[in-house]
Amino acid sequence: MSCIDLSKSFGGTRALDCVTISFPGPGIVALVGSNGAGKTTLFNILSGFLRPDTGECRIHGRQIAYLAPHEIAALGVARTFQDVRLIRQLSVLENLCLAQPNQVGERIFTALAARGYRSHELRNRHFARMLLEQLRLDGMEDTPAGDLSYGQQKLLSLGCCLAMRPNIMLLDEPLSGVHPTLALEIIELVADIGKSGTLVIFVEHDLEAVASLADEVIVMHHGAMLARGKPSDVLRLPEVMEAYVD
Amino acid sequence: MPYLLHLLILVAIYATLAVSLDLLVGHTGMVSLAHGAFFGIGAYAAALLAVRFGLPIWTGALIGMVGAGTCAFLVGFATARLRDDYFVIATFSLQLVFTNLCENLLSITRGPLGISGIPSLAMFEEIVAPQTQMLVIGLGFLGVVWLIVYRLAKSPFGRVLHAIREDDVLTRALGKDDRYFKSAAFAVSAAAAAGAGAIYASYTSYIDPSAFTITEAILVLSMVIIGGAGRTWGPVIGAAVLVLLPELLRLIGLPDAVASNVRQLLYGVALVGIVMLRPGGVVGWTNVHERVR
Repeated sequence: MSCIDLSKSFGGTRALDCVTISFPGPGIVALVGSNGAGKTTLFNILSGFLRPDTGECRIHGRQIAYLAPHEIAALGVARTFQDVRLIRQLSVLENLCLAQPNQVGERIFTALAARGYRSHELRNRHFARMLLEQLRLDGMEDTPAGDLSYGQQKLLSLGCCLAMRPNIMLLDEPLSGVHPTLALEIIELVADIGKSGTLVIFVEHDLEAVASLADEVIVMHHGAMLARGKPSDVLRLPEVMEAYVD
Repeated sequence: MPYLLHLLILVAIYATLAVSLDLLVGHTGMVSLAHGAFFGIGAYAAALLAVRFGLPIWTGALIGMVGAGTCAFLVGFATARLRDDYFVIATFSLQLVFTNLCENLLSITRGPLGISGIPSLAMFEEIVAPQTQMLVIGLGFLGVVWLIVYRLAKSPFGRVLHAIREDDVLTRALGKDDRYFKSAAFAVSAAAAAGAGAIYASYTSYIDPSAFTITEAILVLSMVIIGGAGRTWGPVIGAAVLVLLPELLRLIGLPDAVASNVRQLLYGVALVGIVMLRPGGVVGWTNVHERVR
C-alpha cells in the first residue's frame, strides 16, 4: 500500500499536506501524532470514506483513492473507527457473520430460498464461532452487541475486521477507553495478526503500547509526516516529543 | 356477507401494501412516501393494458410490477446516498410527480375522469362468486408478499438491510454495497405494491388518480407504524386496524361528512398515541425478553 502526495483540506484547514508514505509489506505500523495531525483523515482516505484533493493511493499497484468503501474493502482492506461502530441490535455472532465477504445469501434471489445459502451460512457461523474463541468472547454469541462492555465492543469490532479476512487492517485507536486488562488482550491479538502476514496500521496515543507492539512508527504533525522509523529510535527524537506535547 | 368480503379484500390489499412498505421502513430504515405511486403504477398498467390493448389483466399486472420494480430500482440507486429526511423528500417528490402525471396526461389516463370497465381477475364465475375469488387472490398475493419479505428479512440479505438501518457507514466499511441493497429492497417493495394496485384496479373495475395520492402513501405508512415496523405481523395488523376502524364509525351511525373528519382525527390520535406510548407498534413487546430489557 502506498500514498503519494496526498492532500486534503477542510475549508481553510489543511488536514493532509502532500503526504507520501509507503507500507512495503506485512507487519505492524503505528501512526502517532497529536490531535489534528491528520491520522484519521489518512485512514478515511485509505478506506474510501474521503476523497483526497490531490495525490493517489495504491494497493498492489491499483489506484484506490476514488473507489467506494465497499470496493476498497473487497480489495482486502478492513478498518475500525475511533468511536466503536457495531450493529448494536444484532447479536455478537451475527455481527461476525455480517462482516464476512462474498456471502451467497446476500444475493436477493438466493436469499428467497433458505436451501440456497444454508450450507454457506453454516460455514460462516462456524468461522464466526472460531473468531469468538480467538477473541475470548465465546459464550456471548447471542448477546446483542450493544449490551457488551466498551472494551468488549472494541474487541468485537476488531473481530469484525478479522471476519473480513483482510490483507490490510486500519485500526483507529483500538485501545482508547479500554480497561488495562482488556487492552493487554487486544495488544496480544493485534501482535498475532501482525505475525500472520497481515499489514496492520494503527493509530494510538498510548506510546507504551506503540513501543511494545509496532515494528515501525510514523509520526504525523500538522498533516505531514514528521518522522518514521523503529519505535525505540523515533519516539525519543526531540522534535517528536515536542510535536506530541504541542 | 358481500360487505364483509369487501372489507376483507380491502384489508388484504392494504396489508400487502403495508407489508411491502415494511421491507423498506421496518427492515432497511428508509421511510418512503412514494408507495401510493407504485400502487398506482400497478393499477394503471393493468387497467390501461387491459382496457386499451385488450391484454389479459394478469399480463398487465405483471408488466406493472416489473415496471414499478425497475423504476424503484433506478430511483433507489439514485437516492441511496440520501439520508433520512432527504430520502423522504425525494420519495415525496416522486409521489407528487406521479399524481400530477395521472391527473394531467389526459390522453392516456383520462385524468380525473379515470378508467372504467377494468376486467376482473376472477375467472371462474360460474363456480365461485367473483368477490370470493377476489378475496382468495388478495389473500394469496398477500401471503406470497409476506413470505418474500419474511424470507428476505431472515436471510443474510436481510441482515445487511438491518445493518444499513442501524449504521450504513459501518455497513459500507464491512464491504457491503449499500446502494445495491437499498435499491433491491426498494424494487421488491415497489413491485409488490404494484401487484396490489393491479388487484385493486381489477376489484373496483374503476380507477382515478385520487386513489393513489400522497394521502394513500401516508395511510400505508401509518399502517406500518401503528402495527409495528419491522415486526412479522405488525403491518398486517396495522392495515386491519386502519381499514376496519372507519367501519366502526358507520356502525355508530355518524353521517358520512362527519365520519370522514372523525376518521382523520382517529388516525392522528392513533399515530400520536402509538409513537408516544408504544413505539414498537401494536405488536411491539410481544417478546417477553424484549419487554424486560
